Amino acid sequence: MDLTAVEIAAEVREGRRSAVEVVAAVFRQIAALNTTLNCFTGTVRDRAIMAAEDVDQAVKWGRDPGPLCGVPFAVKNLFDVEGTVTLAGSTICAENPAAAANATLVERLQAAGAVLVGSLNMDEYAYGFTTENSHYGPTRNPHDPTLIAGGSSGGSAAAVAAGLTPISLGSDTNGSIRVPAALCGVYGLKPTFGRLSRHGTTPFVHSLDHVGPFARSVRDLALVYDVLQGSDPRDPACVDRPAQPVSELLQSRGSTVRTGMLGGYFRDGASPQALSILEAVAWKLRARPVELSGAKAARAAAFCLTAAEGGSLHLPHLRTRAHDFDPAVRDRLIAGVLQPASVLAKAQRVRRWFLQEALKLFEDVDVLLAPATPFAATPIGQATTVLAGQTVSVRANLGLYAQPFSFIGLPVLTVPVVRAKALPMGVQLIAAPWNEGLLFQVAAALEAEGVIGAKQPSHLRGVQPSVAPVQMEAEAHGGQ
Amino acid sequence: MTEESTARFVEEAAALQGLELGGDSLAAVLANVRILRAMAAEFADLPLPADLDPAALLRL
Repeated sequence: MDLTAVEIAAEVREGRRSAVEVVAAVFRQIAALNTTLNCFTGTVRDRAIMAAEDVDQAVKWGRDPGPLCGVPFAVKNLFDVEGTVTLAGSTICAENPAAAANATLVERLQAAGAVLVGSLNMDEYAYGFTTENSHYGPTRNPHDPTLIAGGSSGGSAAAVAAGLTPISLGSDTNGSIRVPAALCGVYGLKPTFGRLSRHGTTPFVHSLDHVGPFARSVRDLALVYDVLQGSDPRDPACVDRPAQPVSELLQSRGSTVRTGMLGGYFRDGASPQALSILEAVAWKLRARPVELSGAKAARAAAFCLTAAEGGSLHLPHLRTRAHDFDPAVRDRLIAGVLQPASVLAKAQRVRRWFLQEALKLFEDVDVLLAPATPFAATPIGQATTVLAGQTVSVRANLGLYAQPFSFIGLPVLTVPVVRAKALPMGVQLIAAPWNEGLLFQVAAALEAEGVIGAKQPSHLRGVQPSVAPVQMEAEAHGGQ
Repeated sequence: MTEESTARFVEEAAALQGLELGGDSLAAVLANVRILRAMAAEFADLPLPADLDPAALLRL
């Protein structure tokens, strides 16, 4: 479906199209494309149709179903969906009982009139950047199905890029929203740490986990983000502060926003293409070059803490069910729990110090620019790529520029940069804590200028639904 | 640490945590331990102010 969330909500609210029609179209698209792309691990068709009927009834009786009136959405399969098993990309979790309630963010979207259609593929336990899941298969990039979608929220990014849903939810511990958003050519928001509730999501690294939305336009991303905001005492990290809506800011284009293009660490190891799109955005914004010291150390500290916290979380199953893990995930988690305590204590102190360094930079600059990834999507199954004549690990390098910012909780909006006849790549817009509004203002201005924007994958245009719809109801993974 | 002593340390530390490492898994865990050590070396000697708050959760 090519319509944006804003367009769908308007069509349904004004009675030009029913929510049931919209949902039916989504399931036809899923049937046509999911066997190729492998975005969805489960769907909730019956529930979606009932929810859509409720929306249509509300419209019929003159009630406003909410700002996301009839808008279909899907969630990374670490979000609890009442009555279905939360997989978190693993087979161990597939044996868990069905979730008794929806995650907070699922509830908020539904309360705003959105219609949940299913759950999306991811790296096991969110520990990865490629969504090459050894249990559920790889999610394929809609722009070229031989390539990775990025991860760990690969299903969330690919579903939106392919037009299966206009919006989706993912999580980001070290870059897991920003990396797949960049590789699939869509918008992805990792808000300030503590902004959005993680209640009802499977954790990976408590002190680093963020959740956030994907969309194909700035307006859609703003609309869904505004619905998601609000404190939640059930997530101890979620801060009790009023929502700061961003949709109303999109008309003020942020012309007075001071922007800085990060150099040093954030250029080292970047492909010429990554630098080229960064400079195109920087030129448009008249960004000045700036340096942020300590980024390499911060990324390394995030790497160590992630392995340790993630390993500690999964230690009981690593002891008793090691063979049921994805081997690549298991061996990193085990190595993580074997680290000396001195390393982890120092890593925490590096984190605080690096935050102070970043906050100093924001005294002179409002929004920072950095590449989202060092390179574009690579072939599925390919472990290495060549950068400046050097062979480098794909998995170890995709999060190179994303990790320093999630480590200190800064809000980051990854935007897809328009490039003719080239694979998608993205740029990170980074602000001081709680300044998501500035990011949206800058993104709206860039989108209006045609510098950034999501483009429909060319080879998916005109794809017709298959004759026999794909059977992939959530029951296949443990009932709902 | 030598390769041999690293392998011994990993095996003993894993056993203390109640973890079993087979042949392939031991090699893979060792490779990851080496990566983590290289990462830790990036900040081990970084001079930091003495009064930093090391709270695990950021309070922004």
